[in-house]
Amino acid sequence: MSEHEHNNNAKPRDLRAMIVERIETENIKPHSWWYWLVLDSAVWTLWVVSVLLGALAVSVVLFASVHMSFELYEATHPSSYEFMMETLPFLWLFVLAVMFLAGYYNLRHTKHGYRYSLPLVIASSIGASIALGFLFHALNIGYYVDTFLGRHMPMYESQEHMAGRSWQRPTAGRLMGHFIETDENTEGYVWFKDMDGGEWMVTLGELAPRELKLLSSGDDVRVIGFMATDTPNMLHGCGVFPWLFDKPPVLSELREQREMFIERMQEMDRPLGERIKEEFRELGQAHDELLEHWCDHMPMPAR
Amino acid sequence: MNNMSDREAVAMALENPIFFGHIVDRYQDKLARYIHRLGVRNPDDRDDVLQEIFVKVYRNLNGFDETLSFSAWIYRIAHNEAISWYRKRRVRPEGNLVQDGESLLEALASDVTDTEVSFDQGLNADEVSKALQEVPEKYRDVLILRFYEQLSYEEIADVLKLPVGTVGTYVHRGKSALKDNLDTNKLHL
Repeated sequence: MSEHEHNNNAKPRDLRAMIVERIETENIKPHSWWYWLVLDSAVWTLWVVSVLLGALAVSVVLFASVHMSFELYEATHPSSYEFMMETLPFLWLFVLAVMFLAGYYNLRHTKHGYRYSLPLVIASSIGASIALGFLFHALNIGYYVDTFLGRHMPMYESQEHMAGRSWQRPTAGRLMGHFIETDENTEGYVWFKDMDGGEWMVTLGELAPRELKLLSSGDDVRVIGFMATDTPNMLHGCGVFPWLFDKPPVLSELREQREMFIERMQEMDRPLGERIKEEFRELGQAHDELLEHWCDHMPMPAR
Repeated sequence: MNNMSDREAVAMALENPIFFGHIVDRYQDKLARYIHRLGVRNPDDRDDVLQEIFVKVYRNLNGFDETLSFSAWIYRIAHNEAISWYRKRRVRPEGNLVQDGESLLEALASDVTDTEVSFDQGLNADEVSKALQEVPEKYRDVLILRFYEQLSYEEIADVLKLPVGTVGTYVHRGKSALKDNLDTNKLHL
């Protein structure tokens, strides 16, 4: 037998005695049962937390997707692509991806996590977040989370704020705010206060009866129109739509909004010519002359 | 004492560390061979690593998962300790397993779970052990547990913390890689 083989086959020294002696002299104790329970529970807790945060992210993404003012996107953005790029909740999609990975990782690191098949791990982590996210969305939790964060965290832009920013652009013919009062001396316009505190005269000539009713309710509304070139703080109103962020979203209301928008455009019977549309895009919705034609050439929404 | 089950030995060791010696007696030879196959070749190193393994086993006795076999659990600790030993040394040594090559060849030839990859009985032990060293580590670890330690797929899954299906895949790929290495080495002779 070679020395190498002899060494490899050599019986370890009296290991038993050495180990028992070491345990006694170093007073080594087994970790308690509680230690293992806490450790195992911690991993499961992290899994539950990642699933819950993933579900919250799903519910906010759903809320944002439903409530991103898609119903009127033709009035606020040159194309659906630009609209999506500006309004998609990328932060929450990122949180969602991180939580999916965290859920997967935590479940894999539970005591028996390695035994579960990939589909089971995916179904139980990612699937649970999605299913719970839909439930949260049905309970409007996404709306509350988004609105709460928007109102209490300066660096967080809620859908409410994003939509406000998108709609509070007087030079582009959009205002967000509410009716203040009528002026007894003049007919044909009302005073309107925008979300930045600015006061506007909004002309009523182009508005449909239901829009006048909506405007006069005093609730927050969105107004589309164009700025008068000769009078400061005057907006020629072309359409009035409710502001929907003061309560949890209702999908049927949004559908109704879109129907109303389409119907409104058809009532005006002024389809947009492709040439105007192109010019409008190129000039970035700021050109006075084009703004004057805003009501005449308002983009027709796709059905 | 020799008829005592592992679980009973664990229960007694928790009562009194003297009884832990029984677990040491039962597993020290198996684990010594196992960590040697994993690359801990120097007898002094091997004794040190074994001692650390058993101390860790003792510390973790209350964490023994009774849904596993004790053998799989203790092999897991041994595997992790050996890996941690390599990491401290920053390299996993490549050596030869000549004296084990023959038993590996026999085990491979008698493996009825995978008939797609067959081995020539005319191979010698040296060729087999050399080819095994060239198999990617993740497959080699599975082959060692399967064909040297004679663990079941479920036990290997518990030792390496892999799904059982993955163990089956690794065994098959490991055998294919081993066969490819044997064929390549033969061409170079």
